[in-house]
Amino acid sequence: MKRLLNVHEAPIIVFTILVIVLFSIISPDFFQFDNIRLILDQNISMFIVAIGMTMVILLGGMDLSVGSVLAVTATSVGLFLSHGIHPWIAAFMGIVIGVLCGMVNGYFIAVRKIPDIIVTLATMYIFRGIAVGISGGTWMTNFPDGFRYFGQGTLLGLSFPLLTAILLIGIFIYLLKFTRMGRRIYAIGGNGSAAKLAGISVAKSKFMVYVLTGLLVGVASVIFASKVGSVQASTAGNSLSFEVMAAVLIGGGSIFGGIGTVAGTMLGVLFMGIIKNGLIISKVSPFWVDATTGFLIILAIVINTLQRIRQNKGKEGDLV
Amino acid sequence: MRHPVLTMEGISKEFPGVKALSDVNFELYPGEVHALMGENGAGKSTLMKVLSGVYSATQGKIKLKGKEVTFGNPLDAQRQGVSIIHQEFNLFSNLSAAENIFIDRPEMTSRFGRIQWSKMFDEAQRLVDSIGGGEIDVRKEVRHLGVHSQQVIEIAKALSFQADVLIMDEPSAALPENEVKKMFEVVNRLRAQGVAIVYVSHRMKEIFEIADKVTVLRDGTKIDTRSIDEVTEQSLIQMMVGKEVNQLYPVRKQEHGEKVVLQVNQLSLDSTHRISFELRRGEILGLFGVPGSGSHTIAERLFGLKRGTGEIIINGTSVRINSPNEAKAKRIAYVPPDRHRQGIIKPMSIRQNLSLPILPELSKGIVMDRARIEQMSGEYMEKLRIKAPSDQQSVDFLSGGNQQKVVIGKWLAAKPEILILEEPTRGVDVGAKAEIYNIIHQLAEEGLSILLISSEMPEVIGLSDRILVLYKGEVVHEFAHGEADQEQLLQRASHPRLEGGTV
Repeated sequence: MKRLLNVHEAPIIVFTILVIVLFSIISPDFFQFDNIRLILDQNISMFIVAIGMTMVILLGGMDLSVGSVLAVTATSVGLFLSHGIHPWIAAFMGIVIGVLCGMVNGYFIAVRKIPDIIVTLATMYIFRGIAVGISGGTWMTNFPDGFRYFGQGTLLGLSFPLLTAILLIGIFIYLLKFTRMGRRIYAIGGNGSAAKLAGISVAKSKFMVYVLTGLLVGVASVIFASKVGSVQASTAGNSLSFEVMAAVLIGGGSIFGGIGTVAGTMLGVLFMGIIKNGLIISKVSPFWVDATTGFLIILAIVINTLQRIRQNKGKEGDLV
Repeated sequence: MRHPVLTMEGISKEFPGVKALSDVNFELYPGEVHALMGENGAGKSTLMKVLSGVYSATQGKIKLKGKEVTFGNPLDAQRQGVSIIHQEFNLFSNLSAAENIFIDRPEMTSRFGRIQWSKMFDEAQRLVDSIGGGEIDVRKEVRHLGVHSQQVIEIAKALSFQADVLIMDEPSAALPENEVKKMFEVVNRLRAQGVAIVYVSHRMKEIFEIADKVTVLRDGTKIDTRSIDEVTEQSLIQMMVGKEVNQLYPVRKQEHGEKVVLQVNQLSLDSTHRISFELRRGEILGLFGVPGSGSHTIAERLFGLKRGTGEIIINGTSVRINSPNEAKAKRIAYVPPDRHRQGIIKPMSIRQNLSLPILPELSKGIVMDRARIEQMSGEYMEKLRIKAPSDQQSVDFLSGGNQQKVVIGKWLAAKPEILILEEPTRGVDVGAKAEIYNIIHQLAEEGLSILLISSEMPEVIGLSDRILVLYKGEVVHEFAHGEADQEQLLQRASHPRLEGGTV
């Protein structure tokens, strides 16, 4: 039991179980197979984008632009489709655009060393503006049937987008835990100057992280466009950046970098999804969802901090 | 005849305007602990930075095991067998001890790039065990380890590169007394394994306990290398200090007052160390100690930056100081050691910097009183002889000396009764030093009580009416004015338990 409590994700696991129990008591409709599937389904894009954000926050950075990247890729895919391009090629090109957006962020942050908050604040407007510009302000809609597969299709009897998300989560958990690239991210976020002294190329790692984040947002945007069936450039992914960052923090990530896991973040996304869904199912006014979410972020972070303090107790010696 | 594992020949290092090292030769043999000594600014750390690949030498050769080498960066030096353990540890507190040792090392991955955690844990544990750190669990994150264990991890990291040469920079500074012994055990093991160790330290006692040889640097040149049996503390100190420094220091015209302005009783510096002293009106009290002596903590306690137990009595009344604001209200001012990070606000003008501590007094309601600010700023520009075209100039463009005067000036504007000066002339040229000394002197003559904390011996000796020598959180000796010279001061500060000492 004690060892279980020391697992990094322990607070969020306990927390998630608590709200599940709570909502199950309040509403019999909550803990139903269909409802659980709905929660997962509604948050697929968030799961995927949050993987990227976990890496960004592990570096000690942040990315305000992911929502806009989602808008610009989804809009582009819509445009490609409306020009009769094959859905698979359109999807691929959309992902490439996501990667390009990540390269732009990565270039200014990692190579030109401009603070991430400034770069992504600027690109948040730029990418959103491009999306609105190329869409001409109209809704992208009437996607061909072949495109619906990405958001609604099934593979081996399972939802295609869910499978994609699970695959990506698996890959990135492995990447962060078992590859030098992943461990470099933790090292840089933990102590940048020590990382440099250990011969780690900080710029290269940062650039890679932003590029991978762009790639993940690209994938997420294809699923998003297909699932929703239409894209409005000015609103798509509007509050995505903040929601995803919140999920990382709720999942045990530290805004100062170096601490956090993909698994924790995924639980964070799930947790936020459950709250939203549960509040609505429990017939609480949907207008209170935001306030509740904010309150829970603070609560989660307090609990994470308490866990860290508890673990730090009993540390030997003290500095003179 | 054994061959040296490392030779440095004719090493010179120039920075713009300064020659930090000139023509230094240094030899190191396998299995020896070689102490490197010298005063602050003697060139020890520059020499070690050249050796560990942080700087490249302007002139000279480095030979490792007979072959000439060049180090492009610290990692390069490590790979070739020279590792350094900095005074401040370079650890990832969020990662396990094992990963700290083997971060980003290809030999810890399989052919397919998968990190082999069990191999990493095993090798790390073996390495840590081999230097006597058996009680450390290498799976634990470093932030859960104590200082000694962290140091063992640093040493293990250095050794994991098959280090032939290990540089330890003030390794005991961060350690409590009882852990220094443990560190020596580690050093002895390494010596037995044939590692050559450069041991940089100020502490005499440690040097005689652990070193085989000692090399002394002074003003960027090598004075001598001797076997430890051939030297005494006296002779070492003489080598380090050299001739007396010139007269930078004004002569005291009048005795300081008798009234005790500040009395400190059993002020806690950490969980075990407490300190007591008193400061009189118009007195300059020097606090001197080698790194880790606790003098910085005294300043932090008095200025409310750190909390603890003990009594602070100002003018006969016991007071509590829990924040800089409260300290200010008790008429205490603090000129911190790191001007750039703690002293000045660079983009602001001289005038704005000067007015910072007394903004409430310089305001009418919520509006700043321009005229009074202007008048105050003019007064302190003049009093401190701050050289600038106008007080509207941004302090970023001032010389180090003038920046330091701004920091002192802003606190004088707060009209303190007690002024704590920590490293008041760090990074300041000689001319400005003399001016700052004159200012300090003049302030004391005007009745300000000054606590002078400095690592520069001539400064402490030249200015202080009385000097307290600190060692690991204790006052080990007190010198009256004119009693101390550099040799004695250094001796007391680095090897406190001599006959006649107060402890």
